[in-house]
Amino acid sequence: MSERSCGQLCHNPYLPLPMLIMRIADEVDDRTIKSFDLAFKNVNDADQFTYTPGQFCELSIFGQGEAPFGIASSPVETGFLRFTVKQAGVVTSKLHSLKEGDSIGIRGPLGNTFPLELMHGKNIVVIGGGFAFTTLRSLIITLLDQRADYGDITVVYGARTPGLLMYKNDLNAWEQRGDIKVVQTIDVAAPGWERQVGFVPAVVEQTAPSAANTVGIICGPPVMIRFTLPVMTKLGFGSEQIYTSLENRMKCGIGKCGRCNVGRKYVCLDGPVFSMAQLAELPAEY
Amino acid sequence: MGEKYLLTKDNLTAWISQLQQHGRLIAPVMRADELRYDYADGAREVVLGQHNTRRSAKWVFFPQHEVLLRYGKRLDDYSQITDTVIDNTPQVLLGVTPCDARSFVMLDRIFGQGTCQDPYYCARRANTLVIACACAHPTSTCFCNAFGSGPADSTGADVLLYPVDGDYVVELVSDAGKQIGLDWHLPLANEAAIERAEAITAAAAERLQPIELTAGIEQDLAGLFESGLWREVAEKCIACGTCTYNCPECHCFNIVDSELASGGARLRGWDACMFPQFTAQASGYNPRPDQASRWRQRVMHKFSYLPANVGLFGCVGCGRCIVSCPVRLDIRQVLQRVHQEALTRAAAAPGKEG
Ligand SMILES: Cc1cc2nc3c(=O)[nH]c(=O)nc-3n(C[C@H](O)[C@H](O)[C@H](O)COP(=O)(O)OP(=O)(O)OC[C@H]3O[C@@H](n4cnc5c(N)ncnc54)[C@H](O)[C@@H]3O)c2cc1C
Ligand code: SF4
Ligand code: SF4
Ligand code: FES
Repeated sequence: MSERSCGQLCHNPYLPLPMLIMRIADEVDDRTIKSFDLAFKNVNDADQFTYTPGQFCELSIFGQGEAPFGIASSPVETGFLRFTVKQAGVVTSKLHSLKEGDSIGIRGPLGNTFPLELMHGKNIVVIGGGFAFTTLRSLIITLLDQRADYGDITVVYGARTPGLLMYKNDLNAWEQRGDIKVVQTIDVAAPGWERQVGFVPAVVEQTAPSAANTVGIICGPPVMIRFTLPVMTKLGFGSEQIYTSLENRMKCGIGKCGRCNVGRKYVCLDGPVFSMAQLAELPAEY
Repeated sequence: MGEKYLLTKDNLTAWISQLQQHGRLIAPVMRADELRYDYADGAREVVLGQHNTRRSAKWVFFPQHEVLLRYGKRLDDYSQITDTVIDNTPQVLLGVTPCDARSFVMLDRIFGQGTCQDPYYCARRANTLVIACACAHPTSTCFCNAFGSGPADSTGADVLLYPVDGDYVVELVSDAGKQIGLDWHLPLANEAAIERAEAITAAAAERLQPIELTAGIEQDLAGLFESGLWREVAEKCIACGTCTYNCPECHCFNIVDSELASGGARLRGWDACMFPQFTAQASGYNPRPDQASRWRQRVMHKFSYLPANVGLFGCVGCGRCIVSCPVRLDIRQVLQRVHQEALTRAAAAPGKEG
């Protein structure tokens, strides 16, 4: 009874924090992906909420439920939290029907982070595909904020068509800077597109970032990752130099509900960010 | 082991009334011809010292459905959220089997430890006195002995009762048990009663079939993730989830919202790794695409991941999953197969003595 470790009750981890939807923006031209910029309704919550790129939250809509989403804003962008959501099912469809000024809830920040400490002083290669660019945006903005702490930064981002590349304003702004190399690519040539054409693995091979003293971060559809990894190996990347983020189905987000495990690791607690070396130790249940 | 006390059959009713003063009573009772743990009116209803119930006692701390929070009619009005449904009612859980009491220790490590604690589970757990009853009636599906446990194991109990011909020898196990035991003013048990109590549980232990299942199981499983044995094991499984619902250690859950005219509730309910939808992702992709991968998860979680993560098996050997499986799948046989398979592989592996 009383002598057990359950004595100390922390705050209720299932209770969502109230948020206001400040801004909603379409990210792609087929309108299936929208960004939601949220503001805390309670000043206290805002003060206590600190996060690092790579982390996620459970977005909560009463009556519909909860679903996990990576945090797409960077901690250096103050005043809002951004989530970029693709319409998929119950919660995401309801989210897409909400308007600026509506309220929703969040639980978080949850999960681990990109290995910022390890990345310190190193060259960084960020490879993204499709709509899995959310936490990569958070990461890149954070890196650029402390630009002097890192070596060369290379970004390769691909989508099927120009209209499916997200965060166009950010991408174009980064292209204007001299201190980051941005390669945007689409699968097949399209009228008016003057940038790269080709699949991400091939474009990574052409761009050929050096593996020496470099950390690679890769997020995207499983096929893209599968075909890009051999390219990176060829470029000399070891499995401990490459990180990715997993998207196993989740509910609690706090290591209790037993849904998201890959082998003995819980993606919600031990992840979502794993190095390829860590994943090699685990069964391929993702 | 501390002092042991005697609770005679003549005093049982009064003692149970005393427990009811302490908290809401939950005990094995007959409901619709089935022995189950349920809220009990009083001594008249309580059935002590019987065989295991079909369902475990985990619902006392982790109910099959519970409200996590309620919200008002206007879904966006967060001022109306309440999470005051945390249940601090003092309770006495009387007469659980030692395997059920022991199961709480593993659940404590899931819900009560880690980066954050589960307030709903912890509140119930902290306010519930667990009085276990030593097991005099092991059945053919019991295998607590495979875990180094037995009919008189007091792990997880605050108080342990030994049935002795209608009377009970009472052992105060935890600090909480010793504390409340002071109020009972029970006489010390005499030598004869204690010897009789020990003889009865020893006889019960004798009736358990000797079984070796857990030695080296983690290492055995480590090499068998890709083994074809899971497909063979899962062939008959109809993915009904009964094994996990009745299991005292299974603790997977789902969270869903229920909308009512007056407002709504966010509910938590038991879920199971044996269900195909459990890990299905929004894209339609499922990392556990077949029943073989789900059976593997059930066994790996209980006998490999939990020992590695929290230091305890996710099984106490109560045998409920064996009794209740509609297609008679037997986890003991599966563990034996795992062991054989590992031996076969070791023998076949070149360069290793087999
Ligand atoms: C760490 C993490 C980060 C993520 N980050 C992002 C992100 O930044 N952006 C983003 O858009 N997504 C992200 N996701 C994915 C996102 O969580 C899912 O898209 C979301 O959970 C879908 O929720 P939903 O309620 O809309 O879908 P659900 O209603 O849960 O349905 C999902 C799918 O499940 C299937 N399904 C549901 N119910 C049934 C049924 N009864 N029978 C059969 N099939 C059924 C359907 O195929 C459906 O499309 C992330 C996931 C994780 C784990
Ligand atoms: S797995 Fe089966 S035998 Fe083991 S604790 Fe659960 S129900 Fe009992
Ligand atoms: S009870 Fe038997 S049939 Fe049902 S899910 Fe469990 S193993 Fe499969
Ligand atoms: S989402 Fe519940 S354990 Fe990870």
